[in-house]
Amino acid sequence: MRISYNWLKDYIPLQYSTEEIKNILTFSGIEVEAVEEMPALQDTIVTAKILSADKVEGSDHLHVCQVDTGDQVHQVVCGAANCRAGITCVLALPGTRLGDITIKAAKLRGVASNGMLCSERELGISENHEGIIELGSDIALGHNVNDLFGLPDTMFEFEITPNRSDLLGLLGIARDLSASTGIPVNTPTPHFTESDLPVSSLLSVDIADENLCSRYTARVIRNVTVTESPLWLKTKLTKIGLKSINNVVDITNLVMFESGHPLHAFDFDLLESTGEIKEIKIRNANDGEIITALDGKNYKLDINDLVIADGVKPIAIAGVIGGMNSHITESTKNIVLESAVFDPGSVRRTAYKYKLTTDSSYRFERHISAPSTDYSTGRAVQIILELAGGSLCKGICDSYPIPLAESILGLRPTRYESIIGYKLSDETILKYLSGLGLEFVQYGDWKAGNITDLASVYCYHAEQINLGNAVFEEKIGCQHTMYFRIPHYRVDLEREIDIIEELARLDGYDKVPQKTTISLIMDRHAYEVKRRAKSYFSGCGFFEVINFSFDDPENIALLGLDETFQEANMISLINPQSSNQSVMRTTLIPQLLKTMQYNINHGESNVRIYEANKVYLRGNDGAHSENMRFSALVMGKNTEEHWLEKNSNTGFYHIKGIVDGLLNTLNLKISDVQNNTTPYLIDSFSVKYLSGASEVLRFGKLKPEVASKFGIDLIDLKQDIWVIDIDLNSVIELGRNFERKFIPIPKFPTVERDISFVISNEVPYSILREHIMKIDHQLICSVNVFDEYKGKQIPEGFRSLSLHIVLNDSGKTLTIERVDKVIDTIINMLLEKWQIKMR
Amino acid sequence: MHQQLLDLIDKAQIDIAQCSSPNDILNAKALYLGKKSYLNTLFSQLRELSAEERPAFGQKINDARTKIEELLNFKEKALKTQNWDKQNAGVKTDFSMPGIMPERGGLHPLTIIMHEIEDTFLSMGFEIAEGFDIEDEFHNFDALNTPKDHPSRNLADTFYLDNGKLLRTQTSPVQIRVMENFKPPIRIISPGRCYRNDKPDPSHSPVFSQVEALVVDKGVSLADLRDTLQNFAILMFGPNVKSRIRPHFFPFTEPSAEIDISCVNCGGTGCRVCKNSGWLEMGGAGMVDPNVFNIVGIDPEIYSGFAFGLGIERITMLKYNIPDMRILFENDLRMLRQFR
Ligand SMILES: [Zn+2]
Repeated sequence: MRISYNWLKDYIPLQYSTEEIKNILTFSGIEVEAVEEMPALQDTIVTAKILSADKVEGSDHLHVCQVDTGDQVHQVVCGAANCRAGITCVLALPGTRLGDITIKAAKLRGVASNGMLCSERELGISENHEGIIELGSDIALGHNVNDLFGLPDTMFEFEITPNRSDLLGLLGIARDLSASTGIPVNTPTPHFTESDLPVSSLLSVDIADENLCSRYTARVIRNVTVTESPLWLKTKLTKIGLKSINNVVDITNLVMFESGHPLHAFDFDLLESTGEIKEIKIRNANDGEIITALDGKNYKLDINDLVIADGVKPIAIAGVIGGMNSHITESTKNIVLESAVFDPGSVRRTAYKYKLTTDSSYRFERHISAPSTDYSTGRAVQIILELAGGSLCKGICDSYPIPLAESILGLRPTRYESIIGYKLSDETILKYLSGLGLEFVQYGDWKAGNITDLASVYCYHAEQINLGNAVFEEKIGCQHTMYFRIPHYRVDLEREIDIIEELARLDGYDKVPQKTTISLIMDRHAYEVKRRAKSYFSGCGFFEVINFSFDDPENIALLGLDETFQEANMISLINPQSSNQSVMRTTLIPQLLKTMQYNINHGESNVRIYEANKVYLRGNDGAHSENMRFSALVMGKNTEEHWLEKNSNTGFYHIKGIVDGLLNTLNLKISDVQNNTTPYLIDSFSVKYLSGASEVLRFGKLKPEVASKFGIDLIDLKQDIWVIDIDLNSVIELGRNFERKFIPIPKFPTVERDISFVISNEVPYSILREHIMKIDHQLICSVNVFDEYKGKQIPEGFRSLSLHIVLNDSGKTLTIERVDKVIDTIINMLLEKWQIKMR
Repeated sequence: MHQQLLDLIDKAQIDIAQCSSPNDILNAKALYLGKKSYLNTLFSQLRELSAEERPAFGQKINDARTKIEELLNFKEKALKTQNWDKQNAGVKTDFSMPGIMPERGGLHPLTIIMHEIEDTFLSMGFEIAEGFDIEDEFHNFDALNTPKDHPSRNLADTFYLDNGKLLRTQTSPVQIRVMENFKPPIRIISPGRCYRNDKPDPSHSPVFSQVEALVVDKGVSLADLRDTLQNFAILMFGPNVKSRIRPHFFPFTEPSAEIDISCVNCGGTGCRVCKNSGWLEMGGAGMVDPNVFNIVGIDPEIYSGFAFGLGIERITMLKYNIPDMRILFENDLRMLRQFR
C-alpha cells in the first residue's frame, strides 16, 4: 500500500524524519518496502494564467501562449492538447531543472518560448502526462506551487500482513503509530445535517444471505453537483497512484484510504425498480448474468459470485468493482452511497476468478469489521455535502442481520512474561493497549476466550484492585488478569496470545532479553581441518593408528635427528612405567615405524598408516608446547591387489599426489617446494613445502638403514617406505581465513590446445607453467602436463614435455585467430627463455 | 525416364533392406550412388535434354538420390544398433568375481566413537574445548578442590615430568581453563587424552581418552544434568537405553554421582558384561562445587553448573564388543580394517 507521509500527518502530528519513521514502522511490524522522496519544487515553477493561445503557423499542435504570472507576461510555446486561453496552469521558467533537463529560453518553429507549461509527470507528482495541469481559477498567480501539491512529501510503500486489515487505512496506521509513540491520533468526527425526507421512502435494501454480506448500509443524497475534484483532493489521490474521476468518486476513494473501508456510489436515478421505491438486493448472480464493469470489460457471472443488484439487473460485483450501468457521471443528480461488508472468501474467489484485484477487493479479502461502516459512511457524507452540495435524506438503510457481539478478552501479565520472557507492568500494558483502542474493563480471575459474563471472572483479589485498594501480591487460587474490550476494527484479536503479540511488538522485540550468547570457545576451523585431514587420508587408503604419547629416547635417536637438539627438547617422565616409555614424544614417526614393523611381522606387505596426534616440546623456564602433527607411512603397492588390473609400486609422484590432494582439500596455497635434507630420508627423494619461510610439511623416501634399525629389512622385502610428516598446526593457521567463493561457469565454449617440446631437465615444470599462465591470465584457464618423455631421439639432459592448455574468454567466443596468437606468444616465450625445440 | 527413376528407388529399397553387414551397405552405396551408378549416368545424360526440360529432370534425379541416401543411412544406423545390442547381449559376466573397490582406509575405532560423541554433543548445542596434556598441579588438582594429601596426587597414580609439571589425570583442567577465560553461559565438552599410572590390563591403560561436559549458567540444576545424560545415552546407544546417577564422591562436585546406563548387552536383565547387575558404569558427574567457582572467579550465588566425564575406551569396547583395552593400542591392521 502506497501512502503519503503528509496525508498521514493529517491524522497524527508526526515530526520524525523519513529514516526515523521507517524504523518505528519496521519495529512495530509494518514493513516498509520502498521509500520515495518527493522534493520541493524550485521557486521558478509558478502558477500562471494563459491569457491567449494562438496556433503556431505550420504546426498542427503547437500554440504560442501569452502567460501571466501576476507581475509579468511570458511568451511560451506549448504542445498540449488542453492548452487554451483562460486556464490557470503551472509554468516552469527558464533555468528550472526538471529531472535531467533544464528549461531554457528557446525558439520553436521560429517562435520564442520562455518556459514550459507542465504536466503532472513533468513535475514528478504522478505518471499522468495527458496534458498540462489545470488549476482552479481562484488561484493567485506567480506563486510557488509547493503548497498546492503538498510538497515536499515522502511516499512509503507498505507491506501489510494479511491479518491486519485495520492497517489498510491511514487512520489505522496512525492508531498503531500512536500506540508505539504515545502521540495522540486526530480522528475526524463526521458531522452533517439530514433533510426531512426519509431515505426509506426512496430505497430499500435486502440481503439474501447474511453469510455472504454481514451488513449493508446505504444513504441517499439528492441534488449533488458532480464535477471535477478540487486540487487538494486530486493531489492526494494522484500521489498514491489513483486517477481522479470526479468529486463523488474521489471522495469514496479518499474515505477508503482514510478509514480502510471501501465505499461505492451509485447513480440513484439509474437504478431500476419493480415496485414503488428503488431497491438494492445483495444476492448471488444468476448463471450467465453479464455485467459491464467500470474497467469497461464484460464479465459473465455465475451463481458463486455475489452481486449488488437493483430490482432488475446487477449493478456491481460485490466488494470487487462497480458496474457501468449505474456509475457516477457529471450528469448524476442523486446518489446512493454504499458502505457494506462482504464475505472475504467470496470476494477472494470472485476476484481471483476474473483476475480483478481492486483496492476494494484487496480490503474485503482481509476481513473488514461490520461496525466500521458507520464511520466511513459518515465521513463520505460529510465531505460530499461539503464539496458536491445536495441534501442528505433522513436516516440510513441498514441491513445488519446479526450485529457483531462485543468482545472482551483477558490478559495475564504473568502469561506475557512466560511467553515473551520479561515482565511488563500493568501500567505499561494499559498504555499500549489503550493506544490501540482496547478499552480496559476490569481486573479478574483468569478465564479463556471471550467473556460474556463479567461476574464469572470475579475474585476477591481482583475486586480489591478494582476498588483501588493496595495491590494484593498474595493471590491464592486465582490468576491476576486484566480484561479488555476489543475494538471492532481489530478483527485479528481473538485470543490472549494475540494481545500478547501486540504488546511485545509495541514494546519492541529488541527489549526481549537474550538469555544466552554463544561463547565461541571452540576453534571450529581447527576442528574442521583435523576431521577433513583424517577423512581425506582414510579415503586414500590409510588407516589411522593411535599410539601412546610416551616414547623411548633411543627410538627417537634412531631417526638420526640432531641429538642435542632432540635431547634438549624432550620432556622426561619422573616416574615412567618402563624405560621405553620414559619421554614425551617429539615426533610421531618412530612409533609409526614400530607399528609398521609389527604389521609386517604379521604378514602385511601393503601398509598405509597415519597418526594425528600431539608431540611435546620443552620450552624455556618450565614452559612447553603441544603441537598437532599428522604423520603417515606408506609401503607397497599404490592400490590394493586385484585380479583385473595390475597395481604399481607406490612412487614419488603418488606420494606427492596424496600430499597435494590434502592441500587442495584444505584450500592451502604453498609458496615453495624445496629439496631438503632430512637425516632419515634419502636426499634425492626428500622434499619440503614452505609457506613463506616456515615449513608446512615434508615427505620423502626412508633410508633403508634407518628402517633396519626399526627391524624392517627393506632390501630383503624389496620395498620402499615413504614418510609424510605434516605440521598440522601450521596447516590449520594457513587455511584459517580462506573463504570459498563461487566462480561463474564460463558462458562461452573453452578451446583446448596441446603443445610438445624438448626442454632442458634443469627447467622445473612449475616455473614453466607459471610463465605460460603469466602470458594471459584472463584467457589461459589451465596448463597441465600430460606426457613426459626421455630417451631415444632426446639428447642427454633434456626431456620432451607435452602440455594441455585450456583457454576461455568470459566475455565472448574465442576466435581461432586469437587462440593462435596466444599459443604463438607462449611458444615464442619458451623459445626465447629456454631455447626449446618444438616437436 | 520418370518411371525408370521410380523403379530404381523400389529396387534400391529392396536391396538395402537385405543388407546385413557394413560391407553390404558399402556395396549398395557404390551400386546406387557411386561413379558408375545408374543415377550418375542419368546425370551425364542431362545435357542432352533441352534447356526447358533440364531443371525439372535434374531435380527429380536429385530427389531420387536423396531418397536412396536416406534409406542407406537409416539401414546403417539400424545395423550399428543391432551390433551394439548383440555385443552387450553376448557377454557372460561372472557376477561373483570381486568388484574393484576404490582405495579406502579407515579411522581408528576410538576416533570413530570420539567423533560420534562430539557430533552428539554438538547437536545438543555444546562447543568443543581442548586443553593441554601437560598440566600444572594447580589446574589438575588444586583448582579442582583436591586436598593436598589426596592419594590421587601420588606418584603411583599420576605421572610427573622433569619440567615440574604432570600429565593430566582427567580432562577437568580444561574446564578450569575455560572458566578462567570465558564468562558463563558455558556449554562445552572437552575430549582428550588423560594419563594415570595404571599397568595395562584388559580394562586399564596408562594413556586413555575422556570426554567431559561442563554447563555453567544461571539456574542450571541436577535435573539438567540428568536430562543431558539421558539424551546423550539415547543418541549414543539407542532409544531404549536408560540412565541413572548414584551418589558418589568427587572433590570438585557437590553433590557428586556416578553415571550408569542400562546394560547395552542384555538390556538390563543381567549378563556377563554387566556382571549381572543390569547396569554399566560410564563415569562420574555432579554439580560444580562452589569452591571451584570461587577459584575461577565465578559467583556461585549467581551461577551453577554441572559436569560429567565419560571414558572413551570403555564406550568403544562396549559398542564394538572389544574384550581387551590393549587391542585398541596394538594398531593391528587386521583389527583396523574392520572399521573402515
Ligand atoms: Zn548386561
